[in-house]
Amino acid sequence: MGRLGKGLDVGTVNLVAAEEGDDGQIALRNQRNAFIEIPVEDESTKSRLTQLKVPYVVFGKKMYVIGDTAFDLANVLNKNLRRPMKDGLLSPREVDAIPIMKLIIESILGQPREQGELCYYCVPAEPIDSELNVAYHRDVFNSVLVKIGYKPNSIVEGQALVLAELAEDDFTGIGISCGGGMHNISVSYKSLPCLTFSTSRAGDWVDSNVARVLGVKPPKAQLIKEKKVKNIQKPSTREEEAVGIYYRELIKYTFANIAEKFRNAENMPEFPDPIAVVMGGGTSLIPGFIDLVREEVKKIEFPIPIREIRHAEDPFYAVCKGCLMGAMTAQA
Amino acid sequence: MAGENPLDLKKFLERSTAKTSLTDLQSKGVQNVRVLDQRTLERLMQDAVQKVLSGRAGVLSDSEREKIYQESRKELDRLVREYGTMKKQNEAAAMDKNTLLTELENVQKQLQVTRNMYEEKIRQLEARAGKGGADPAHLAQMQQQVQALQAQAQHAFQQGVQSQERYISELKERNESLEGEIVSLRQNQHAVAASAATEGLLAKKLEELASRDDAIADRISKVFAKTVEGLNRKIASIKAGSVGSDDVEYRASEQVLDNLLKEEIESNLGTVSSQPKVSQKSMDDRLSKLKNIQASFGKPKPEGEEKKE
Repeated sequence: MGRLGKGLDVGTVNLVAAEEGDDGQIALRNQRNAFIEIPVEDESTKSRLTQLKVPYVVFGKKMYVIGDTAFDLANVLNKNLRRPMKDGLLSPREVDAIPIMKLIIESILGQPREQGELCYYCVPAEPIDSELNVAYHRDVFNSVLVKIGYKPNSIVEGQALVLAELAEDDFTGIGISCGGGMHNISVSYKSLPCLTFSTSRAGDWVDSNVARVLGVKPPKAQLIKEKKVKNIQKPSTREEEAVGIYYRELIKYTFANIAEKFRNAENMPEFPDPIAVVMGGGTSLIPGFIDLVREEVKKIEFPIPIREIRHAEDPFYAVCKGCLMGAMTAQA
Repeated sequence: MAGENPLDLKKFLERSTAKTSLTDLQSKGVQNVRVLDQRTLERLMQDAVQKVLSGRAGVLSDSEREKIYQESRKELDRLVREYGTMKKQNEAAAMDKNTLLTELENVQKQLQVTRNMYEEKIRQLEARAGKGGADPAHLAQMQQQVQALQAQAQHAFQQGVQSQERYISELKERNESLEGEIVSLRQNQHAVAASAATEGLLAKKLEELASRDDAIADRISKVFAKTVEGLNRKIASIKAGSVGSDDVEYRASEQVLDNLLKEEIESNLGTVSSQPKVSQKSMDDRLSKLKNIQASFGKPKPEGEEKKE
């Protein structure tokens, strides 16, 4: 058995779990945090879905297909997905989705290896551009994890990224987790978060704007963003161009807010040397993302010197690995 | 209201907010509130109002700009109309002058013809008288006729001269008047040209002012809207904390959550789970570094609890 402690990245678009295996390697599992209702048919439908390795749940009198297949179905059927989370937080309107989320979490996290195993899960920092409250979100996930048998602890998403990616810099620098519902920013000094906040423009914001200009549904825009863009810096089609425009705006918005926060925040440490900025998360996976960030950051007057802007080693799983590091450090 | 400071924000805030005790808040289940002191609120609102006022000073409002433009346009139109009238009058006066000169020439010709006629008659009478043989009575009568004709000729000549003098004097007056009008017209032409140039400059200036004014107004409006929106949110939040809000968002209670999570749900998730992705890179180095750093701070656990700004 690997060292105790597990990490869970609770994202608007994806749920990701991490644990150390017997061989010391890190096992990572993920599931798209979405589902779509399909007509309840007979038992043979369920068998067929199982044979096709399509996950489903039957809840009440309704049947739902879960995860990536739900995403594909939404595109085929031109329907909207049901998403338990919105803008980085659990949507209070999706109370019915909580048991389904519990099932998904259980399926990727597994059972605790011993009673009360620590599980660090990420939460967004306080948003600066919306009135959303993190407390309810945290309470629900605490309850879910306790129900499964874990001892839960929350960690700010941006800081989880810092733990996973800024070891070479003594955990000093800026971590930016680019998720679906939010961008989470953490300014860290020697592993201590000095300034954390989130902005509510992220991947979903790009999707909804691209959907609007292209006249398609948001899942279709998401598909274009995830599968069809070859280089966001050099768009060659109308679709790529639309995605590129909104990505550029998103980057500008995020960094302008970071700069503004630096100027206004009190008790910020004096960084003796230029710092590193590391970026991760699903929204950062689009080809050409980091080059576009570097290009945009050059245009703004950033209040502190930046040594480099780099992509996380494993952008999609970085936050989850940070959660795992938190759990493993605390568990020991 | 006379004597009342229209920007008395302190009074406005006192009137628009309600006080509540901490005990009341606690009894309503409110444990933590965000506090925005009155001075900060006042300062924010004063700043916003001052920005608007100072931004507006020195530039023109839409109605002022429109008024200046309309007045300038009206003046230009009047000058153009006046110039047109003067030009027509000038042309008419020039035509009058030509007509008068033609008439004068006619009068002079008539006078000459009349004079020639009388002289011819006188010559005939004198010739007849000089041939002799005429009786003295007839001669005296002829002489009277000659004298009468000479008087008539003299009278006609004098009349012609007087008439000419009148025309000449009239023409002189008209000429003087026309010269005056021409000078006036030239002056007006200069005025119109100058006015047109001024109008162009004014229009350009107005455009510049307008664009600057619009940009400033737009900025102020955005800043003001943002400030007011933020204040409204904060005031609403303070109100909500003190007197309860109408906009209550449903959130599942602990009991409801507990019941929801107890439900047995049929699913195939356990059987269709895919193999995990394996990350080859060990975390050992990073973990030990993290532990060392945290130990140096005397904080063994990376709690990661949100550090509030």
